[in-house]
Amino acid sequence: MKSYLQLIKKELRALRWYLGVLMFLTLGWHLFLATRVQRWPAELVFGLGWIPISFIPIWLLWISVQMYRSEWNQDTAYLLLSLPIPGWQITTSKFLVVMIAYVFSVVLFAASFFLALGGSIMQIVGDCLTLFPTIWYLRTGLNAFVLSVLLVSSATMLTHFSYISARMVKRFQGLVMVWILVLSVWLMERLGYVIEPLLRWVPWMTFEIGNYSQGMVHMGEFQMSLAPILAPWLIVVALFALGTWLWETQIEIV
Amino acid sequence: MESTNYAVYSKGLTKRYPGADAIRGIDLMIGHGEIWGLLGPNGSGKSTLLKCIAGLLKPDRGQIHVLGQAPNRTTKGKVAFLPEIDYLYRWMKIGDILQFVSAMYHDWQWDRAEELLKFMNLTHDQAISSLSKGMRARLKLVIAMARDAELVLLDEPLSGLDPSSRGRIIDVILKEFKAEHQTMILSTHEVGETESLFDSVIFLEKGKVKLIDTADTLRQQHNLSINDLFREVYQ
Amino acid sequence: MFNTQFDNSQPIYLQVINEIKKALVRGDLSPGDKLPSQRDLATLLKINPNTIQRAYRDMELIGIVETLRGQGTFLKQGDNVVETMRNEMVSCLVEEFILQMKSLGCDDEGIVSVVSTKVTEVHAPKQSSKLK
Repeated sequence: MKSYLQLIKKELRALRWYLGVLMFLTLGWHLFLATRVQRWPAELVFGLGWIPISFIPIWLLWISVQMYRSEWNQDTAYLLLSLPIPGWQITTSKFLVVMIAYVFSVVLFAASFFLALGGSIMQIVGDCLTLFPTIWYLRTGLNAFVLSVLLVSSATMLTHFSYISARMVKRFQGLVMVWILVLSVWLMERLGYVIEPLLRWVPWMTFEIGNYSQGMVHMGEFQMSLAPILAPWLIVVALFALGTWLWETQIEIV
Repeated sequence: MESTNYAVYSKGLTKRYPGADAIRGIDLMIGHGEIWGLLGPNGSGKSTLLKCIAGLLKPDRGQIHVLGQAPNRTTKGKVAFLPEIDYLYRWMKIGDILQFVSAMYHDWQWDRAEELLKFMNLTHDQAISSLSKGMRARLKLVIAMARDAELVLLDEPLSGLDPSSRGRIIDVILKEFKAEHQTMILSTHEVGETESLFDSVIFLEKGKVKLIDTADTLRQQHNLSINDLFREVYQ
Repeated sequence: MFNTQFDNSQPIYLQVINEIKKALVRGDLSPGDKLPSQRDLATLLKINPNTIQRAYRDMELIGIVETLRGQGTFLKQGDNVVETMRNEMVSCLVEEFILQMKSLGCDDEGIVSVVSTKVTEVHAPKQSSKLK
């Protein structure tokens, strides 16, 4: 396990620069908006404050590819591939670090939003916030987090799988990677549909929806099966495992 | 099995791929405890052969056995491979890379690593990106020799270095090589000062073995030093 | 003790043996002396430790040295070891010299007279010794 911890530490430290850029841009944008609060309509500032979060998926995709590509660009694949450690330690440590980066980026966004714009935003929307009970925010937040983790982890695993598979061809690796990505998304949907009936036992997810009418909020429940989401996710996990096997047995230094 | 008697055993080993030098039908029997020189001009396939032994390339055809088995995770744990290129994370400090590597191998010896580092005039807090070519080469050797690896593969460890770095590297190879349980293959395209290190040598040309024998036998047969023989073989 | 410049066109282990023999004959080493460990000598001479091992093994076979377990390798003691070795080396050299001279067509008197004139003119080069 000593080796696994070192791998995670290494991936995290290699991301320092990317995390720094993200932090700089997010905080910079929110601080800029903070200076506009008095001049621009409050709703506009509030809306613009969400922009950084739309960049997070692209940023995550970028680091997902970069953390593999740099091993070859910088020749460090020589070191990585000569290590006597199981392939899963390398692939899952890289995957885990993307997930850590995801959580970090969301927390960073929320903290930056709140610190820079919190005071003025609360003046506008503060009243509305009290309409819902605190527990509602917790539950809904947790549900959204679980769903987003499923989504982000699928995207990361598919990207990593595609990168490793594309490494097996000698030419046009970029193009091949995109094709494998498209194919594996298709495969994920198809096979996911096939195994979905096996997942009937999975608990349902409950959302509480508030309807606002006549100055009152009426809470209603909405239930959703997790099976249609979990099934393709399991296919993605299988593809990721295949990628790990390829890494350990097929990947060469070229 | 016959191949367990050898540190490296290969039969008809062939590997071709775009962008690198091919090897074509290499037969090898490298005994335990020996130091071998893998000689040949640039492009003769020395690196490809070493990468096959290290398990970084899969052969197209033929057989290769390293310490009795086909290269796999187990053999990687017993092989120390020093590639010709700079394969260390540039953003790390020397201390970081030693920490990293030491966690990966069971045969890492910290006391030896510290001793070698001192001898090579390197310190933990130096950034790898700030090292000169000679210092990077010395660091690579520290990492390879701080382990008790059964098989040490050094790909062009002296190429393009200043005389003082070359001298230190040769000193360390001689001092740290443990003939009782180690085997070494060192590739080079300039024989000169390495010639007295070798028990046996392989001359490679265009991916094939041109000459293979013990160094002293070749000296006696040809009445030439290995260095002169090298010049004669490659015109 | 040793000339560290080897002629790389000759087998190195033979040269190591020769250097040790010469050191013994010259008196730089004496019977009973301990030889450096194989590893030390390999590092000092910058040659492969297996080459040193082979040289030590061959010297043991021809009876110049003996290895005592755990103590190291020693030059053998005995009556006239040095004397015998010097005679051997000298007669070897002289035989070779005479054969070469004869192959050039020199007769016996010619050889003797050349040697007696040359012996005062030629000086031995300074031994580049490194260790004693």
